Amino acid sequence: MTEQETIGFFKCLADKSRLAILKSLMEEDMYVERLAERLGITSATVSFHLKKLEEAGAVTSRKDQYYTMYSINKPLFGVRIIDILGEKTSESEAQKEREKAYREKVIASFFEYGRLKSIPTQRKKERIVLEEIAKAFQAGREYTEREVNIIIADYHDDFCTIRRDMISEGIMTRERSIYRKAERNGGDPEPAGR
Amino acid sequence: MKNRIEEFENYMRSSAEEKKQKIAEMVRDGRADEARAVRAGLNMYEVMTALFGAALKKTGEGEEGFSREFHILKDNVTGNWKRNLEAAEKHGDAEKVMIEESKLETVEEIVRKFDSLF
Repeated sequence: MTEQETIGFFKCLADKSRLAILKSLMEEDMYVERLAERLGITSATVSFHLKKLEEAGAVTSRKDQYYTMYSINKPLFGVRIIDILGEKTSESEAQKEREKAYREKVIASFFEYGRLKSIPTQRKKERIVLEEIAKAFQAGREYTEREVNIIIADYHDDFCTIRRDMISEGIMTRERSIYRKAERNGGDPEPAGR
Repeated sequence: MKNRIEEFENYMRSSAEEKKQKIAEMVRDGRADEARAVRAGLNMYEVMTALFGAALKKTGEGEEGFSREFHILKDNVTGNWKRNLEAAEKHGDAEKVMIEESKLETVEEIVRKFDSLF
């Protein structure tokens, strides 16, 4: 577990309803509606807590016919707290974690359901947003300007600004009206929220 | 009509107060995340009081058209929240679903009280 994951995990546990959900899942695997009925809270609230627990690694889910069944992640709870405290984190790893957390925060603030809400004014934030959009482009493939515009328009209506900024930031290259994703962005995973 | 207006306004004040107490209890009880959704519901008392006032201002204290005007204003406002809820459900945004549901449930409670009076 990284330091950030450890913090996330303990923060997640520090909630009465989430503890109650985990206690129920200790007895048996359950689906949202069953937990809601058992704990006297709404299904939406249970779903919210389960999502948090899943993100923290405390529960896992699987499809079971019509339902999504949730299970407690027993191996994780089997880890001794003293062992977590004894884990060493190097400065470079800590730095990477901080950068990752910052990146996730920027993406969460500027994107909603896969659409860019606004173009950040701060260059550092804009670069993160542009790199996120660049994940929609395949490395090594050539794109016409029209294709580039169509792809960017899925994220934001001001595709001209974004296209130009991607070039000036070196995220995309343009040569004789043909666009390519710059090499260092190759192999990125699927963009968040898509 | 005056008595019913007063009753509605008292209901709004006392219900908002209850919600505030509930939020404080939830935070004390270690349920701060859920309290955020209830807080979103609490804001509905302010919003619906404003709509109530706007409907009254437009139609006067006469019965005629007052209830209809209130419902029109309410539908306009809640229409956005319903769309937000649908979008959140579609994208699996559990936190937003919880918050939008809390808002809409509170509005339903308020409208039930309104309909019983006007």
